[in-house]
Amino acid sequence: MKVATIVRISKNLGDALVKLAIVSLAITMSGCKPKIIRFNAAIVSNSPIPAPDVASQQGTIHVCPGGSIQLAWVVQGRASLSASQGERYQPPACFNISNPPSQGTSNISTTTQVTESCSDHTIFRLTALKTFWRNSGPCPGDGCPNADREVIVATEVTERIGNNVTGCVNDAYEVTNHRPTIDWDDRYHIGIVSVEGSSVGAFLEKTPGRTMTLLHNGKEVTFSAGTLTSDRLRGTSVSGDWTLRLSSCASPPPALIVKVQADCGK
Amino acid sequence: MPALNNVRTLAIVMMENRSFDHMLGYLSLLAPTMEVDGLIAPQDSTVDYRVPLTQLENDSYLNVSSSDGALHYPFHMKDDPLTTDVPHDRHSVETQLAGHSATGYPMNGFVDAYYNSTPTRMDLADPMGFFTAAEVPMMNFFARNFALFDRWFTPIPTDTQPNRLMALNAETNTDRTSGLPPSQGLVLDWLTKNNIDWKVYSDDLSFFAVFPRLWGEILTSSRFQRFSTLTRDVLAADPNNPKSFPQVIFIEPSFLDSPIHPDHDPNDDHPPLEVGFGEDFLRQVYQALTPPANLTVWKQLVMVLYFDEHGGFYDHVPPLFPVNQNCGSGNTPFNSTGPRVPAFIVSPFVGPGQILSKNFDHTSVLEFLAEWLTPGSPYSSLVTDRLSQAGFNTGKGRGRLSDALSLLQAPRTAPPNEPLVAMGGLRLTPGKKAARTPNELMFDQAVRGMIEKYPKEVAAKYPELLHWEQNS
Repeated sequence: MKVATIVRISKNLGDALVKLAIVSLAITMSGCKPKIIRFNAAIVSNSPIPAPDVASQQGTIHVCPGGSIQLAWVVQGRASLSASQGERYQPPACFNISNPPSQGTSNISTTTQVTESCSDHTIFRLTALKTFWRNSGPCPGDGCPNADREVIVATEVTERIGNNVTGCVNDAYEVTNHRPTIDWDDRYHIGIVSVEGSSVGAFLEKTPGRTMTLLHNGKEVTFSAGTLTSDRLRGTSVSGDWTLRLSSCASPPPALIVKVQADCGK
Repeated sequence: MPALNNVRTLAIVMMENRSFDHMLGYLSLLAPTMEVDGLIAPQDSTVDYRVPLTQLENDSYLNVSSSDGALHYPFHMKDDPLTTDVPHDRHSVETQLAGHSATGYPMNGFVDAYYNSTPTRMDLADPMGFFTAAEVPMMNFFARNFALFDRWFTPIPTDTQPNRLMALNAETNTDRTSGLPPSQGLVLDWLTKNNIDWKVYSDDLSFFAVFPRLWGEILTSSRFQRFSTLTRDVLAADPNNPKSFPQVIFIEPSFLDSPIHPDHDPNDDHPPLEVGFGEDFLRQVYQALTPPANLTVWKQLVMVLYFDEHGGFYDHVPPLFPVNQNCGSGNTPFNSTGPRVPAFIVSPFVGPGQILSKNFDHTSVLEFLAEWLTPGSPYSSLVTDRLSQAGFNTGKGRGRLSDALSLLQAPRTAPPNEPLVAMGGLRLTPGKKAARTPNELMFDQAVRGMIEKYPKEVAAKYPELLHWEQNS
């Protein structure tokens, strides 16, 4: 049974995109105390997603269940490292960190494989600790240098995408947003996109004739008083540029936002 | 205002680094609501914001991270130690305000400023967190039982030292925390010049230790006391002897950035500390000033409680502007205040749940000192010139602290009972740490200077400083 499970998982893994989230932690020393200056993450796969570029990895990771994740970090200075999960705001850890972070007294470069999948999201916390700290406390005062990286693991996600409204141009308000490819598992496919009634939707309903246009991945969707939901983006990916344009500069809402439902391609 | 004669003692308490919405925005969100300019729910929302980690998805408060496009709203934060401090230096505050005086301030760069300073990436970004009465029971107690200011701004949009200098004399010769502050006048000088009796009660090292000219007095004068002696002094106050208790007292928490915390955790509310420590300290302050055995001090007390600056936490109200401020040679003048901070008057002379919505900043306290102690003679031209600027006249206009003292002729008799719920945090191990932040380096430099110049006096009054130095 166990072997069958493993075979099935292997097949699934083979068929599926190989998911790697690379978490890098760069720690530099301020004086003789380690300081974390960068802690990034990204997803890498066999599909046409750009190779990981640590410098471009930006935000919270969204990943479908079933992939494996790799943590990698670089530490400069005399420090030991620890990694933990569920430190803040989170349910119990569901990842399995197969290799603990390295300890050392000089620069450290480490990769750790995380193989279990989660049904909920979790947070990886990496802590840099000065190894020759005097006195009893590990990190007195304001605590050890550390950084948290949130990884959202879910079959379905609902994401709000948009931006604050600023100036009116050509009798329209336009906002843009960009979702980095590196932060989004490409197995997520968009289903429904809607305009929420509590924000833009209310403005559209109050002013018949006013429209909001959405541009994403080469597709265009128009929302109006009678059309606050659309499936025109069905099957496309979340990552990429999003442009929202609201006609007429009368009574602007504070922000233009759409609610995007996406799932892992059941 | 002749009835100001009924005030016998002014207590000044300045905490660290929290914004109004972060600490008190819930007052307009959660029942029983108060009529303050705090956070409000979207129309028709049925969300229970008492549930920790719930987001307040009001688009007026939207902060979008420019690095990953994620949308961030205020959320009900748990009182855990933060991953890291929240940025609040001059450049970061500019990012947070996200505008300028000519076009206004959208107040939507708080997450961007945070992400510029830390590798942490969270769906719920710390600068957007807000507390409720469950996390800040003393703030809640003060708000509902005394006078609350909902337009008290930090004087300038930058970090600790310049704002504290503004609080201490309405001037600053620096625009950032960097080493010991430049020499300048202090409210202590003004008090001494006017023969006003004053004392400083510090829970650990006094902030005044960053002024080298005060080292000798801090170490040898009875004017600088441990906080633990406050109760003793309050109990000894004699209603028939006005000299038995000082007219002005400064009550200082234990600063996180101080190199020493000999017997308890720091409690100044400076992130990444939990606010539970500060809440517990404020309860101790209230209890020290209201001992049932002797209410002499309480009956004629005005306590002003406020925060030195917003600490990088979100607030939705744009600062006042323009307010030009000289801040040291070569530095670009500031043309606005900083964001709002929590502020209260705790006193038998104010009504319960009283709300003051005129504009105030830290220098309003200096104005009140002169109004109360030297009537007809303003504190200084610095204060007068600053507070007379048009920038303070927006909304309901500029306020005076004395406006709040509506019960001067008929003060309340008994102090209300403070909440006795459990407070405090879970962390901190005593021991030394290496100075790292500008504020820590400032305290570090002050202590080393004091030890070098006054070794015997330090050994007598603050032996733990010598212990710290030997182990650092």
